[in-house]
Amino acid sequence: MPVQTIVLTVLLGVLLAYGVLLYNGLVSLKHNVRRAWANIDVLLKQRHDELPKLVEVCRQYMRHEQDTLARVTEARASVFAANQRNDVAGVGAGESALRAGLGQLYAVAENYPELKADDQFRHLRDRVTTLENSIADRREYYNEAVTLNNIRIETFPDVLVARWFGFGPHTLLEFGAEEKRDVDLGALFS
Amino acid sequence: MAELARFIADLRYVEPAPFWGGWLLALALAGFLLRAAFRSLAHGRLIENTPTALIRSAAQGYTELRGMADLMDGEPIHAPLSRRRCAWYHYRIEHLEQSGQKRNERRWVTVERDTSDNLFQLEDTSGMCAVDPEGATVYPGQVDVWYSHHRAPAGLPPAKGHPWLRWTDGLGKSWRFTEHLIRPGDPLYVIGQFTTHASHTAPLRLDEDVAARLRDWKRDRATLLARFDADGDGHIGAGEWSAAREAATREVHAARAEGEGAPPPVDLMGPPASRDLPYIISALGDEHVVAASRRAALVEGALGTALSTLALWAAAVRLG
Repeated sequence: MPVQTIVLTVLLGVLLAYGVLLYNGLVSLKHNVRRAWANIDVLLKQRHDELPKLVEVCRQYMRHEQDTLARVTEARASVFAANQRNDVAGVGAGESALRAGLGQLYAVAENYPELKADDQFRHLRDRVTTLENSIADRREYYNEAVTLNNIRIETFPDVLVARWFGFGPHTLLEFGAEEKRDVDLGALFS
Repeated sequence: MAELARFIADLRYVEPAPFWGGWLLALALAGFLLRAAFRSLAHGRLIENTPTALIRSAAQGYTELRGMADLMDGEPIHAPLSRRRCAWYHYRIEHLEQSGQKRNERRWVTVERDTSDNLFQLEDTSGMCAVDPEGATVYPGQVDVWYSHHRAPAGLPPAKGHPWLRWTDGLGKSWRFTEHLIRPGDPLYVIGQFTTHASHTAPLRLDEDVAARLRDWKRDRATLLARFDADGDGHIGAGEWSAAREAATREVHAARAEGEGAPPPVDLMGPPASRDLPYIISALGDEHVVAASRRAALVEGALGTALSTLALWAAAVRLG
C-alpha cells in the first residue's frame, strides 16, 4: 500500500472522529438548553401553585381591587398555557404581564395596613418574590445556553454537522416591552 | 524522509515476534495519544459550551461558576514556604544533586511537595460557595520560583527582575522552591459538581425545642411572670403554665418557618460524579483553560497521527 494512501486513511479516520466530536458537542448544547429550561419550569410550577394563595389572602382585604387581582390571575393562566405549549416567547410575554400585575398588587397593598400586617400575606409575598428572583437568574442562564447553541450552529465547522443533522436554533426568553420600558415616575406619584 | 523510508523498509528483516510486539505497542500508544487528543478537545469545547450560573440560583449538578476567591471563616490558610495568606497552594522543594560521573551532570530532585486540600470560597454577585480543591485540575494565579543555599526558604520570594536576568537567580544555589498560589481576591473560574448540603445538626424534635425555650424563660422569672401570670399572684399556675407552653410552641413554629436556629445550607463545588467530566479551578479564566486544552490536543493529535501513520506504513511494508 503506498504511503500516501495510508496517510489519507489516517487523516480520514481523524476527520471522522472530529465529526463525531462536533456532533456530540451539539447534542450536549441541545441538552444544556433543555436542562436550563427545565430549571425554569420547576420554578414556574412552584410559583403557579403559590399565586392563588396570595390572591386569596389579598381578596379577603381588598374589596375594591378586583381588577388588579383578576389581572394577576389572567397573567398566571397565560404563563401556564404558554408553558404547556412549549411557547417560550409566550412565556416571556405572560411573565412580563404577571410581573407588572404583581408590582401593581404590591403597590396597592400599601393602602391596606391590615393586609400588610398579615403574616400569611408577608410570607407568601416573600416566597413569590424569591421565586421571581430565581426565575430571573435562571432566565439569564437559559438565555446564555441558547446563545451558545445558536452561535455554535452557525459557526464553521459546526454549521456543517448542524445542517446535516438538523440542529436548529432555540428561542431566547425575553421580557416584553412593558418590562423594558422606562419607569414613568411622574405617573406613579401623581 | 528517505532515511525514514529506509528504516521502514529495514523492518522487513526484523524477526516476526519483536516486529509485531513493537508494532502493537506503537499502535496502542498512537491510540492512547489520539484518545487523549480528542478528550482534551472535548473538554475545551465543554468549557466553551457550558453557560455560567449564579450561586444563588444554580441547579444541582455539573455547573460552571465565576467569581472571586476568598477564605472560609475560621483558621486562615498560609502557604507553607512563603507564609502568605492564600485560598489554595501547591509547593515543591527541590535539591540539586549529582546525576552522573561528571561534575557538571546534575539535576533537580524533588525532596518535598504538597498540595492544599482545604476548602476555600468562591464569591459571585449573588452569593458564596465552598470549593473543595481535592481532585481538581488547578490553574493558579501566581507561580513563584526562587533559590537558596539552605533547605529552609528565607521569607518571601524575591521580586521578579528582568526575564533575561532571572536565570542568574539560581547560580551557585542548591535548593529551589516553587510555589503555586490562588490568593484571596483572585478572579476564579470553577466547573464541577454543584451540591447544596442542608445542615444535619438542626434539632428535629419539636418537644426538645419547646422545652429549651421554656427553660430560657424560666431563667428570666420577671419576664415570665409579666407575660404569663394572668391572675397576678406571683406564681405560674397550671393553666398559666399551659398558656406559656402554647406560646412557646407557637414561637418555635414561627422560628422554624423563618429558619432561625438551623444553620443555612452550604453550597459546595466538588469533583463530578462522572470521570469523563473535568473538574477545573482556574484563577486565569476559562480562556486560558480552553487554550491549554487546545494546545494539548494539538500536540497529542499530531503525535498520535504520526505514530499511527508510521505503524500502518510499517505493517503495509512488512505484509508485502
